Amino acid sequence: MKSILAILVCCIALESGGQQKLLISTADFKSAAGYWKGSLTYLDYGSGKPFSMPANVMLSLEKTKLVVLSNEYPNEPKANNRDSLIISDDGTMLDGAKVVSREILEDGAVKIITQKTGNDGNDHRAALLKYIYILGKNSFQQRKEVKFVGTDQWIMRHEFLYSR
Amino acid sequence: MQLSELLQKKQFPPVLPFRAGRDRLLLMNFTESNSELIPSMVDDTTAFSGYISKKIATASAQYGIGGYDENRTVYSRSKVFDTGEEPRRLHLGIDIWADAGTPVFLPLDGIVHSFAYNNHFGDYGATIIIKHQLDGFVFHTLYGHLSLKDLLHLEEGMQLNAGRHLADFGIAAENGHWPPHLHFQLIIDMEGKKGDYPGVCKLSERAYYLNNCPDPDLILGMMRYAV
Repeated sequence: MKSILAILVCCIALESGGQQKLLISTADFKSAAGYWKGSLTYLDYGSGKPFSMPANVMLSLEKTKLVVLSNEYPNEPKANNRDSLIISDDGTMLDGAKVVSREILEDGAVKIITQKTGNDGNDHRAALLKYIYILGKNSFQQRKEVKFVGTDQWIMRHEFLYSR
Repeated sequence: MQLSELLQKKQFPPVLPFRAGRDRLLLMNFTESNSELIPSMVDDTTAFSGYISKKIATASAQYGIGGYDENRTVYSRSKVFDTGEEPRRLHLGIDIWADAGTPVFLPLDGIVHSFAYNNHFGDYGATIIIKHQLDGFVFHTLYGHLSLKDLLHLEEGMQLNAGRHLADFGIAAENGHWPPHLHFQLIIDMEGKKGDYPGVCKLSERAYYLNNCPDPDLILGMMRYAV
């Protein structure tokens, strides 16, 4: 319990104005490093329905601020690719989105939520974009949610669910 | 703060060999107002290349340059730009025109996002996209119309340092059948695309695309020298 508190304290810095600033590092991704098998579910805006397919990934930590995701799609190998997640030098941003929440879950996994403004859909509608990462020894999730400007509802855009 | 404001405050190593204040840059015009751009010339890659080379040589310039937010007529040469009722004509990058083999350097540290050989007539040909992070902002630089050999040594996720010799201008046969030039573009959100991203959009989509693709001269720093 003491160590969890210590980690939490270490991950929160006070800005000069007294506002709390959430900090992350590649250490948050460490327990999730390695190979995972699972699925990708995404919302097909054309049909308005979710679509699922098998998806595997190798998560590796590079340097001090870089996480590389080597994505495999067994049913569509031509779509295999490598993505990267970059942590800002000050640890407050993940891949260009502000860290708005960081917590340690009961099983020890780290849950990080980031947000940024952007656009989504074929018509590039303005939206708030939310990214949720759950990084544990036994499970790894990445989820993107979208809330279009003028609406109150978060829509699941895509979700990767993996297990060892 | 917007990405454009941040880039304005920074200086970057050169993308191309260029001596500011010494080398001349010729401002190119590919809009309807350029009456020299007759279809029979623009449609013929060899004739089009000759036209550009002559313009640059006559001006005693090192490069021809221009094109960001330019409404261009030259895209009628390729079906790549015909999309339904409204064709794509608004250019989202800066083109720098010079001989094939001209070297291209990386202006800031980055990670190889993706690369591809977009081998349609009028397309990018050999293309590299690099992902960057600067003071928390994540964005991409796209390099189009390169030499095919430049793709051979790359891997997605590879880390590259600023100043690295990234590529060379490709010949027409490998650059999408254009006169040799570099298409340099900034892109904030890749929209899930890999190895490709629109370099030309419909006029009706101008607001979105110019917001997502800020002025590349914020990194190039060359347009002020163009005459």
